[in-house]
Amino acid sequence: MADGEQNPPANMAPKPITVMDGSEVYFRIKPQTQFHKLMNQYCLKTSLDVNSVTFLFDGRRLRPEETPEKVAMEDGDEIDCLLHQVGGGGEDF
Amino acid sequence: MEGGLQVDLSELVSSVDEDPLPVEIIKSDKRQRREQPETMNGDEEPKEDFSTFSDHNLEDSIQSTMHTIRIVGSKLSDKGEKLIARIKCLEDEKERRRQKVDIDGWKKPLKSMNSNIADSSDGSKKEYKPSPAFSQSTLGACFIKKMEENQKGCRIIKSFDKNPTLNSREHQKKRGNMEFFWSEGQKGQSSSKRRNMHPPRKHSLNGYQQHAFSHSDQKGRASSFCSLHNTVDDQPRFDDEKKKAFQAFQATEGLGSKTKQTFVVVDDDELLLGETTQEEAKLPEIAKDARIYYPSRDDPDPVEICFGDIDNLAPEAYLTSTIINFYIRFLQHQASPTNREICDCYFFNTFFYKKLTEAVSDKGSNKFDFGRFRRWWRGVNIFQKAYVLIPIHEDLHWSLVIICIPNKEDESGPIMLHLDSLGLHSSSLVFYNIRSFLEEEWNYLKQEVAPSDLPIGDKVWSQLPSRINEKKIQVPQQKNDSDCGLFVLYFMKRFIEEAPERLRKRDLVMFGKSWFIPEEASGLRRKIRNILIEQFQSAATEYPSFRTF
Repeated sequence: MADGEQNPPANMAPKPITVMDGSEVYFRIKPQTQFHKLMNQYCLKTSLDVNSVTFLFDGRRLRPEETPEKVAMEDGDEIDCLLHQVGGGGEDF
Repeated sequence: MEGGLQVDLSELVSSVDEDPLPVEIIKSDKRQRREQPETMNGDEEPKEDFSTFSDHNLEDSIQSTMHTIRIVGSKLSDKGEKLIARIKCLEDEKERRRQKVDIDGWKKPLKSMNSNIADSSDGSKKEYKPSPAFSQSTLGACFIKKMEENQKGCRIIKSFDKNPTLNSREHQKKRGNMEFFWSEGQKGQSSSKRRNMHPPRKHSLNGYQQHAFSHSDQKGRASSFCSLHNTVDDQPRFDDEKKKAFQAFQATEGLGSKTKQTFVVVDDDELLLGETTQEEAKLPEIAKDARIYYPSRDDPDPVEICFGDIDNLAPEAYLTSTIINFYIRFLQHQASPTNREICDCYFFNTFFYKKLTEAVSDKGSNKFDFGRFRRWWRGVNIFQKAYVLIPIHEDLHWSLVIICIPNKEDESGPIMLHLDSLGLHSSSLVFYNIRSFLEEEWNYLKQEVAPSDLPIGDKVWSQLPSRINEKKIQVPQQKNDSDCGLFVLYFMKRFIEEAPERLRKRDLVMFGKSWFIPEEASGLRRKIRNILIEQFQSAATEYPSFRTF
């Protein structure tokens, strides 16, 4: 996580974030940092449009203004990043 | 010659202008009459004149009345007798017409009509007089044939007939860009019936435009007929067949010029409408990136919807997970908390299956962590539910799995149902994944849950994996390549309305190809769109910052 401040490690919780294709990106994020920072960073790294994906924590959608503290995230927890799904009639069309 | 100049022009013009007025009155009168039987139980119900119904409306009325009986019949004071009588009348009229057709033979399915084009932007009104010769012209007949050959193409034009309520007065007043007239003459209608019709029905094209070309709305509303045609040609999603039909139409009618606009409308019996017939909501002026949370901002897991997401409900647009997840929540929220059916159903969101397939493919590897995956349905024992609904998304297609859990007393095992409106997803693969999920959950619960808390009978529970049944269900099929998401949602809606307390094998007869008519599912598109617009409108009154102006 791009974060200039030096905080005691006790305040830092590593949040690995799992990508759709199975590759993993690990983030360190402070419990009070809002997720939008992480989301933007992640999308920057993976060249994804932040509007084309959704971030889920245990199946529940993460909101950009939420923090790890608020959603009771713990060390080592995973965030799923999933592309918005679109469907109408299959690939053949 | 000089005498001829004394014609009172204003009188002439006003008489033309007044023409449409009686039309509106008659039309709205008719609408009221149509609605009455469904809304009132009073004794003074007037006798309905079904002869003014189009074949299409007739069929429609029968369907919707039957639907009404099904839903509320038993609650009515007369046990729905009046409604049954109404259906009888409608059927009689239908039969009468059928016989008429037999006698009269082939009828011209449509008549020309004149269109009135008023350009609201500058307030001036251009009047196009009908060409009397046209209704009988061979060109017209030629076009009719073309349109009949190309039923699919007819849909475009038909789509505003599909929505007779479009012509709300308000609509016309506010944005009366275009108006269409045509007589009610339709396939196989007798000439006597046509005489009955007198003034033609009038439809505003505005709603149609918005319905069929909502993306064009964003670009700027077409304000003349010709620009409408341009819009049509611009439509990237327009399939070739439709385009051809329209081009044929233009060629026949010589629509290249702005001078004559005569319209031919073909009724398409395929299209229907029943409960789908509702007014197209006007798109409020709200910023594309305005967001709402459903059911509320304070909900622990609300669905977030952007105003721009409504575009995904434009005709022929593919449905996104956002819309599907929204409507799933809407279905849950609509049912009252005391409603047993909905309490006994567990809905997974659209991402669950994706996650599940990943979990299944990780099975056996050290990456596999079922305990963590279980947090997706934290606090819920899925085996205690009657039904678990799982939307399936793969390869740009949506389908639905319903897991039916038996009662504790039941001897049979759980049944997995796969409902696919195209038959595109491999049911065996889907079943394999869901089965893995059920088995893992069973394994997990076997160790965690005390035997007395088992939600399923001991016998079945002890050998659950071998007792899971798979059933690929025959369901109505979509007739296009864009509506599968709507079918999934409509499967859900119908299922939770109709499913018994617990589903047994013998209940599977409730499904089938004729479970409902495909157009009912397709009609959900507009319904959801209207629901969303409503949500945004109420949010906009709360947060004025939503407005773009």
